[in-house]
Amino acid sequence: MSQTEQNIPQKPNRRKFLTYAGAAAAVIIVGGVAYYIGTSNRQTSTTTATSTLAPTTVTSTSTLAPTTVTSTSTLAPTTVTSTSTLAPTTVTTTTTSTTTKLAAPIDFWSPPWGDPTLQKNLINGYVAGYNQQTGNAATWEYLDWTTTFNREALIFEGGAAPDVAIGCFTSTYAPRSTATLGLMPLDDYVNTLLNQNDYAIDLTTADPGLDYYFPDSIAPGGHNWWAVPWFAETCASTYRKDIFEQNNITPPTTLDEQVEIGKKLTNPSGGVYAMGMGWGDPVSVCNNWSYTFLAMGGGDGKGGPYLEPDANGIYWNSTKMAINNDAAKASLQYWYDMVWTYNIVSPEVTSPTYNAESDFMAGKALWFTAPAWVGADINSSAPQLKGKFDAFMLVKDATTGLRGASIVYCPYYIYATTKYPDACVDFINYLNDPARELTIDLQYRLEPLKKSAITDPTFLADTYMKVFVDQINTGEVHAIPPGNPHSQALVASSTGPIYNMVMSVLSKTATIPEAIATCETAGNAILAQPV
Amino acid sequence: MATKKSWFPYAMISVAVIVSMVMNVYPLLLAIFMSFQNFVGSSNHFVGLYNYISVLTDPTFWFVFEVTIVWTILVVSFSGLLGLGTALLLNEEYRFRGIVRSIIIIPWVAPPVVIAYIWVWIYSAGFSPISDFLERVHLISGPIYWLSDLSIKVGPLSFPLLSLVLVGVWAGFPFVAVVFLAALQSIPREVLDAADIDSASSWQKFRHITLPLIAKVGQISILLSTIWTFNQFVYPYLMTKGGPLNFTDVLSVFIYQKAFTDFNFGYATAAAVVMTTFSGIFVALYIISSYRSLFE
Amino acid sequence: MIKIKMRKKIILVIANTLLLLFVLFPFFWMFKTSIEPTTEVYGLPLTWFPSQPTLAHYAETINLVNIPLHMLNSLFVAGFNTIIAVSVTSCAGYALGRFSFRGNRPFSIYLIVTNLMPGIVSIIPFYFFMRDIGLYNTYWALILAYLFWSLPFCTLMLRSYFKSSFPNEVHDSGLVDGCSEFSTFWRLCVPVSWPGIAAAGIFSFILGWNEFFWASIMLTNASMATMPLALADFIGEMGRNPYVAQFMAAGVLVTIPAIILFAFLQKYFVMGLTMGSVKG
Repeated sequence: MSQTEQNIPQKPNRRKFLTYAGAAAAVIIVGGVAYYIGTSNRQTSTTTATSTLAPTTVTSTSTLAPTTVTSTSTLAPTTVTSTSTLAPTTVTTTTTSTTTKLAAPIDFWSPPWGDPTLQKNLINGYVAGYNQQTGNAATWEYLDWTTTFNREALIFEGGAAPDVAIGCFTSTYAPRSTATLGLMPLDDYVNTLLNQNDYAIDLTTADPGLDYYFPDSIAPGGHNWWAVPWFAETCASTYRKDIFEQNNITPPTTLDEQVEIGKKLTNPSGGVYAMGMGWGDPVSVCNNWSYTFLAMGGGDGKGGPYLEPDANGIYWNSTKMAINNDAAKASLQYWYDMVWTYNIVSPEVTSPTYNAESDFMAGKALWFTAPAWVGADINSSAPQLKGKFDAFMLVKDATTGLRGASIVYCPYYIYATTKYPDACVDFINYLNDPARELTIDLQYRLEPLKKSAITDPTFLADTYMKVFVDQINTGEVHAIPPGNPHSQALVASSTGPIYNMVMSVLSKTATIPEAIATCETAGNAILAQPV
Repeated sequence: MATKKSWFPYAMISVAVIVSMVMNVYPLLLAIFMSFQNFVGSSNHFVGLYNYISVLTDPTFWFVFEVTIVWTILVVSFSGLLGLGTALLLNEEYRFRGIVRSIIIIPWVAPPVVIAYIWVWIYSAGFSPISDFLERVHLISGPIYWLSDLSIKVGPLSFPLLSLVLVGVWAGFPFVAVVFLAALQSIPREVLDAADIDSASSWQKFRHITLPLIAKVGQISILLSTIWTFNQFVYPYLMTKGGPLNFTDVLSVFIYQKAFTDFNFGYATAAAVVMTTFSGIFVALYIISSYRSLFE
Repeated sequence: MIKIKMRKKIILVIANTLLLLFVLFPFFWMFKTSIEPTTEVYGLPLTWFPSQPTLAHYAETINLVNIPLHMLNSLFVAGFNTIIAVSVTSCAGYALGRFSFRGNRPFSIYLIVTNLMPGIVSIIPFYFFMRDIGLYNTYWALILAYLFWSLPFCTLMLRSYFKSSFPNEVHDSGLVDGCSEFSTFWRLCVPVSWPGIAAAGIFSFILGWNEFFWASIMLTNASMATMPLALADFIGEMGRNPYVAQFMAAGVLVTIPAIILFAFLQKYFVMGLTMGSVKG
C-alpha cells in the first residue's frame, strides 16, 4: 500500500518527463533524418559530361540478303511480313558485339508513339529477339506521357533512370546532365551512324546547320549529339478524299486557298466544321500555330523558331522571344478568322480536351493537321472511312512561298548511369536494323529518316506516307520545338506562354497585341532562368 | 477512461505517429528546405527568399489561388447540400431505400482514371449526351462548349470551372451523404416522436432537433472534405490539366506543372509551402473556434 | 392525411429518380460505349441505345491489356493496404478514444492538420526516401503512401467509434480478470467493434484499388502495375485514346468489383459510421 502511495506522486512526474523527452527525441530524430536524406542525394557536382563511348566497340552488323527479307513477328496478334529489296551497295550496318558474355540487364523505357497497344506487341517481340540474339536480359517498360515527364524530372533530381529510353525535349535535358546524371553524350556513336550515309537528309552539312534540323540533339559543352535520331515527325493535313471529289475540289496549296475551300465546305449549322486543328494539348496547339507563323515569315524570317538567335545564329543561348512581329499578328489573326469570322474551325478548339481526330472520324471535320500515325488510328477506329481519306501537304504562304512544318522526333537516349553502354548501343542498333525499322514505320506510320526505308518499295507504295515524307524532303521544313534548354517549359506546359497566347486570342479573352505582349514577357522570363 | 498503464496508449499510437512523421513532417521539412534553393543544372544554390518573392509577386499564382478557393467553396457547399439532402431522403422509410443507398456510393468508389475520361467524353462539344438531350427537347440549338466557353466569366469563376465543379460534386457527395445518413440514423426516435406530439412542423423539427444533433458529425466531415477538395489533384489534372488559360487550374495542378514540366522545383516547393500555410491558418482558426464541439 | 401521404410519395419518387439518374448516368454511358460497335462510338447522331450490342470489346480489351494480372495486383495492393491501414488506425483510434493521456488531444489535432500537405509535393521527398531505404518499386512503398490518406479519416472515425462501441464495464472487467491491455483490445473490443473496423477497411480498400498517381511513380515494373496504371496505358500521345470502346470495357471491369464489394458491405460501412457518430 505504501508503495503505491509512494508511486502515485512520482508517476505523473515520470510520465511528464518521458512524454517531453520522447517528443524532443522524435523531433530531433526526424529533423536529423530529414537533413541527412535531404542533403545526401543531391548531386552537387557541376562537372560537364566528358564520357563518350569508345568508338571501336560501336558497330552493329546485320548483312541483309540483297533480295528479299521476311521478318515475321509471331508475338503480335497479326503476323507482319515486310519485304524489302535492298541495294547491296548502300546498306550495310555491321554489328559486332564485343560485349562480355554476362547477361546485361538493360532497362528500356519508352512513351507511346502511334498506337500504344500495337506498339506493345511489336516492341515486346523485338526485345525478346534482342535478348535471344545477344544473350542479354533487356526489359521494356512502357510509360504514358504523364509518367514519362514525371520520371524525367525525378531522374534529374537523382532518381531512378533506365539504361536506354526514347524521349523528347532533349534540349531541356542535355544541359542538366552531368557525368553521373542524366543523358550520356553520344558524339562518336552518332557520327559513326552518320558516316554510314543512310540518312535521307544530310545531317552534318545541312544548311542552315545541325541545330536547325535536330535542335533536340544539340547542346553546348563541346558535344553535338545527345540522342540518336530515329524518325522524323511532321504534320500534314489528313482529308476526306471522297467529299473533296464530290464537290470537285482539289486540296489547297496556299493559306488563302485553304480559307476559300473552308468557306465552301463548312456547315456549322449541320454540325460540320471544315477544318480541325489537332488536339487541345499544349504541344499540338503550339505546333499548329507555329506552322502558320513560320509560313508567314515569322521567327528569323528564314523559318526559324520563335526565338531570337544569338550572333552565330544559334537558338541555344537565346534570351528573347521573337514574336512581336507582323507574322505573329497575321498568323493569330488568320486563326481567329478561321474560328470566328468564317466558322471553318470549331470554337471547341480552345478546350483542353479538343480532339480533331475524333471529329474527323465522326464526319464533323473534313480535314485536320496531324502526324501520320492518325492514318493507322482511322483505319482501326473508323473502318467506315477506309479508303476515303488521304493527306495533303501543309499549305504555303503565297507571298513568302514558305511552308511551315516541323521535324519533331523522339530520339533514343542512353543514360549516364548505365553500367552497360555497349549493350545499350547494341540494343539501339538492333531496333534500328533496316528491316525492323521498316516494320515499325509501316505499322505505326512513322516517317523514317533512313534512305533505305524511304526508298523501299513497300514504303513507297503507301501514298499516304509519301505526302509526309515529301514534306520533310522538300526542304522548307522548320524546326519546332526550338533547340533551347527551356523548350519544355515554353511548349509543353499548359501554363506556357505560347499556348496561352494562342488560347487567349482564340477564346476572345485578349486582343492580339495584348496576347503577344503577354507572351513576350512570360517567354522572356522563362528564357532568363538559369539552366 | 482508463488511465492506469501509462505506456500502453503511446505504444498503440506509435506506429501511426511514425508513419505520419514520415509522410507529413519529413516532406514538409524537405519542401521548406528546397524552397530556399534554386536548381541550376543539378546542383542547388541557396537563394534565400527569391523563390517566395517570385511566387508571391506572380499574378498567375494569385489567379490560380483564387480559382482554387472558388473551386473549394463551390464543391464543398454543393456536395454538402446535396449530401445532406440525400441523407434526409434516404432516412425516410420506403421500400427501395437499401438499393438506392448502395447505388449512390458508386461515384465515390469508381476509379478516378475512368471517371475523368468518361466525363471528358460527356463534356466534349460534339459527342456530349447532355447537349444531345437538350437539343432533342429543343432547349438549345447549338453545341455547348463545356470546357472551353470563356465568354461569360467573373474573375476566377468561369464556365469550364463550373463544369469541373459538377464532376467534383458528383464524386464527392456520396461520402457526405453517408456520413450524414449515419448521423441521422442515430437520432433517437423518441425525440422526433415527442416533437410530433407537440405538432411541430417538418421544418421546425429539422431546424431545432435534427440539425444540432448532426452538427458535430457535419463539422468534422465538412472540415475533412474542405481539406481534400482544396488539395484535389486528380480530377482537374486528368480532365483539363489546368484548362484554358488557368481557368481550371487548381493549386495542386499548378504546382505539379511548375515542378515536373517546367523543372522549376524551387518555385514549386515555395508555392506548396505558401499553400500549406494558408490552409493551415484556416484549419487552425476552425479548430480554435469549434474546439469544444470537436473534442469534448 | 392521404393527401399528405400521396404528396410525400410523389416527392420521394421524383427525388429518388433524379438522384439515381444523376449518379448513374456516367456509368450508363460508359457501359453503353463498351457494348456498341466502333462505328457507333464515333457516329453521329449519338446513339443512346446501341443497335447491335456486342461483347467483342471485352474480349479485345483482355487481349490488349493483361486484365487478370492487373486485377490480381490491384487486389493484392488493396487487400494488403486494408490490413495494414486497419491495424495501424484501429490501434491508434483505440488509444485516442479510450485513454486520456498527454498526447491525446495534440495528436488528434495533429492528425487533422497534417492532412494539409498537398500530395504532389510529398511525392518527391517520399520517392527519394523509399529509394534510399530500398523499398522503391515494391508494394510497401504504396502501402505507406496510402496511409497518408487513410490515417486521418480512419483514426478519427475509429476514435469516436471505439468510445461508444465498447462499454467501460466490459473493459474494466477484462482488466480485472487479468488480461493485459492489449489482449483486452484484441479479444474483447475488436470482435464487438467489427462494423467500425469494417468501415475503415472498406475505405482503405477502395483507396488502394483506385489510386493512380502514387502508383505510377512508385512502381516501375510493368508486371506489378495495378489496374489504374493499366488503364492509363490506353492513353497515347496528346491525350488521345485510340481505343475508346475497349477503354470503357476495361473501366467496366475495374468498377464492377468495387461496386460489388460496396453493395454487399455498405450496410456495415454505414453501421460503422453510425455507431461512431453517436458520441460525435
